[in-house]
Amino acid sequence: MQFLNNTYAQSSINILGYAGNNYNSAFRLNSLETNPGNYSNTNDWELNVLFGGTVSGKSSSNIYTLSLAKTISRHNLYSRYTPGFEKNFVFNTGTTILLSDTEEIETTLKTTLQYKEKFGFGYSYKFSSNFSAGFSVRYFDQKFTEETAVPVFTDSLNSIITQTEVESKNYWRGDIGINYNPAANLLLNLSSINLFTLKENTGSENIYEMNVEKGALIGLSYSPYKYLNFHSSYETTGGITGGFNLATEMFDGSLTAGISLIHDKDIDNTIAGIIPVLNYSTGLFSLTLSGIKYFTSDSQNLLSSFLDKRFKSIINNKYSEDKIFLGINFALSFKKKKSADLIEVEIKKEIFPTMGDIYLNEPFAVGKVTNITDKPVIVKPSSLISNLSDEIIFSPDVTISAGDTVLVPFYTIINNNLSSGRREISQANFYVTVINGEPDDEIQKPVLINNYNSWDGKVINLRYFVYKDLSFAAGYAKNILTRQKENILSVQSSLSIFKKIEVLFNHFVKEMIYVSDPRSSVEYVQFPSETINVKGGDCDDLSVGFASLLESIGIETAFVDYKSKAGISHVNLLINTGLAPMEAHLITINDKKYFVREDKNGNDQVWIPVEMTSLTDFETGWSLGSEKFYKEAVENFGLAKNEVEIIDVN
Amino acid sequence: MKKLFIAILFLGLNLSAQDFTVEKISGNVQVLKSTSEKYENVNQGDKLNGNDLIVTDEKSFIQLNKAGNKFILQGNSALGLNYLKQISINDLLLALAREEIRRVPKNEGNGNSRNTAVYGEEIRKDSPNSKIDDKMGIKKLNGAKQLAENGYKESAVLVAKETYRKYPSTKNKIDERIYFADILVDLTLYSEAFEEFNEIRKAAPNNEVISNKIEKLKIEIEN
Repeated sequence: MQFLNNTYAQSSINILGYAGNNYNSAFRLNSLETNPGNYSNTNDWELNVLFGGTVSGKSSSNIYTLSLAKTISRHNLYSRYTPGFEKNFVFNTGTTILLSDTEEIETTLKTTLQYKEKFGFGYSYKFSSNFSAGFSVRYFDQKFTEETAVPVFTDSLNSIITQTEVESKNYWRGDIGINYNPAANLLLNLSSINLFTLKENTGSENIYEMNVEKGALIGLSYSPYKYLNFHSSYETTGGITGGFNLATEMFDGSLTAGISLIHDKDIDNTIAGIIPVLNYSTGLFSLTLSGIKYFTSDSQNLLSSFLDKRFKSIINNKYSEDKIFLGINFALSFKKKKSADLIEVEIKKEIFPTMGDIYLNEPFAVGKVTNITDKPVIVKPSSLISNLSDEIIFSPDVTISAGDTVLVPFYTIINNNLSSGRREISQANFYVTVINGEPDDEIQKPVLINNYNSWDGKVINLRYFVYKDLSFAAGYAKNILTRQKENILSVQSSLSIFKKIEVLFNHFVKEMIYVSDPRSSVEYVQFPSETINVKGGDCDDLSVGFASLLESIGIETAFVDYKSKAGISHVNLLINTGLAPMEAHLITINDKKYFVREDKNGNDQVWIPVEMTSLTDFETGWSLGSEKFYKEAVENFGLAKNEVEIIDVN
Repeated sequence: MKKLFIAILFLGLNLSAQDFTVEKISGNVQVLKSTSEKYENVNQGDKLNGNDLIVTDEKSFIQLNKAGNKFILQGNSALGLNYLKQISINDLLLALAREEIRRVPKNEGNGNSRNTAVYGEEIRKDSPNSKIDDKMGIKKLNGAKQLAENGYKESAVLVAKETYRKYPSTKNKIDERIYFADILVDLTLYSEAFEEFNEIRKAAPNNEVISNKIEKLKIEIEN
């Protein structure tokens, strides 16, 4: 055993170096030596293996530490096994004895001191995003073996023999600490040193026992820029550490290079040693190469010198040799790292199952999402409404800048086969996912699902009711037209559409009566088949029913929405006769009874307004519809002032 | 109570403003009431209202009195009495913008096919009767001109625009179209006039008068 160094041990020196920065903060790149408070940003499981060896080569490399950490909600648990934390000394006492008179056998008495740190635990609790507190417990094993010369007197022989005395002085050490981030780029920590020690063996103190002087450790870590980190610590027991590291992004990870200097009050050299470190981290692992180079080399191997100042640290003391370490951290994250927070969700619309398509274009809810990373992220919003969809519906991706909070729309697809058809409250789950797989965050909110006949009152959405049972309408319309075939064929071909409109109208309204909506908090619209079956409805029902008949046989229709400031609106229909304006005289001599609209090909066509609630005959319905349309839409500039709106069904 | 009284009085004036009395009449003058499909003869002393369309034959005329204001509609003219009123420039602009609303919006469709396919030769027993179209269209433009001459310029423009659309043959009456486009210039609606002259040029591409007016309007708009 050689004693190469006389650096006085620093209790808090970190053999992993100081590589922590903004780029690799998800990994725990320290141990209980510098982090008695067990501060950790580990997201889930993390495994660390540290290999080490002396540079002199006299000791073979081996596993220094093996540690496992787990974060559960706000709790972090840490455990480590430290087979490499061992230091053995063998001192010659300076006494040589002759073991036998007859044989020239002599021996030198030795004192063997064995120090081990076996294992340790840490626990911390994150009280808030910027404050945590915790404690650590470590177990130390000390065994002292001394050889002494004992004279033996018998009747025939007097001699001296060596006797070995072994004494164990195992103990527990416990410390507490707090960590505080007053700003995102500043970390302060305060920890105890040897706050309490609990000895397993009673009896008087052995002179070889490690120094367990109580003290405190104050540390600071500051990043003025994302790629630069300064760190320092001060121990009341006499040590100071300081250094910095620089980081850069590389190969989908980050590369960090740093250096730290250590100082101790009890040694002559201002700089006792230097700790260089090189770290490469990705999202899955972190690789750290570090070492300790001591600047002093005053080798003294006398027991008296050893006893002069008892050491405080097994891995770093005045007898330590230069070392090199290789540490590997694996992020065993079965739970992915969170990149986005879904802060709140606002339900913008009730769900109207029949109008399901509108939720493809208009969000039914809007969420407030924050990017909690330092890079832009692409968030995939998604939702699942129980009883309305059997799979998660993804909305368009949204890119969020680092640290930004944005409003994210949620769209959905309605599966009417799953809907109960009743008005009910259902639970909607909202998710935000940054990377495919498990969502980063989720919120559950109730959403009102209306019944099939509910309508949101927007005339534009009546079109969904028109198309709800188009096949029924087509069958109904074709049946009537077949029966009136002779009548329809009797007119010139250009009037065919107009004649069909007339025939269908007269048949449709023949048995209808006007019935108001039931008193309800929501508007109620019948499907065309329901209107025909119950033989009645209000203006919405009748307009929807007749529009459905016409649309089912290819005749274009549009709703005319007469908006009322008093809140009593009215709806009737505009119907495309297919006639050109020059042909309008074939159906009327009164040009107030039609409205010219330009079709998709730029051709003008004659549309006629028809009032459905007259329930008399086509001529009356057409005249009443025209009178209202001309007065309110044209003469009073209703169309121009948006008080009257034409909404094409298709 | 006072407010109620004023409101009722105002309503009464408004209604009476819609009433026209036939003071003089000559030749054949007919009225098409509201959405009726039958012309009726007009006689002196008849009461007409804003829903009525007055149509005069050639060499005919009618003199109307509306709250002391007289209006004469000359021969070969047609006029909806609802246009015999002052219209603000804002309302005129809104009405001109309405032309955009007439267009059926282009959409993706919902997959339902339009029933437009006719197999075999489609026979139209009656081809479009452009003479009927032309006759009423010209009468309407004549009526609009008389509106303008009597100070109802904004109304005149609206009647002309509606006539072009409902009676497409009138789009080829270049002189009439220039007349009404010039009214827009008089009203300092240069952008609207510019658009109208460009529309007219489609029907008469080589008309120098139109080209010159367009160039002048460009300068006006740029200034």
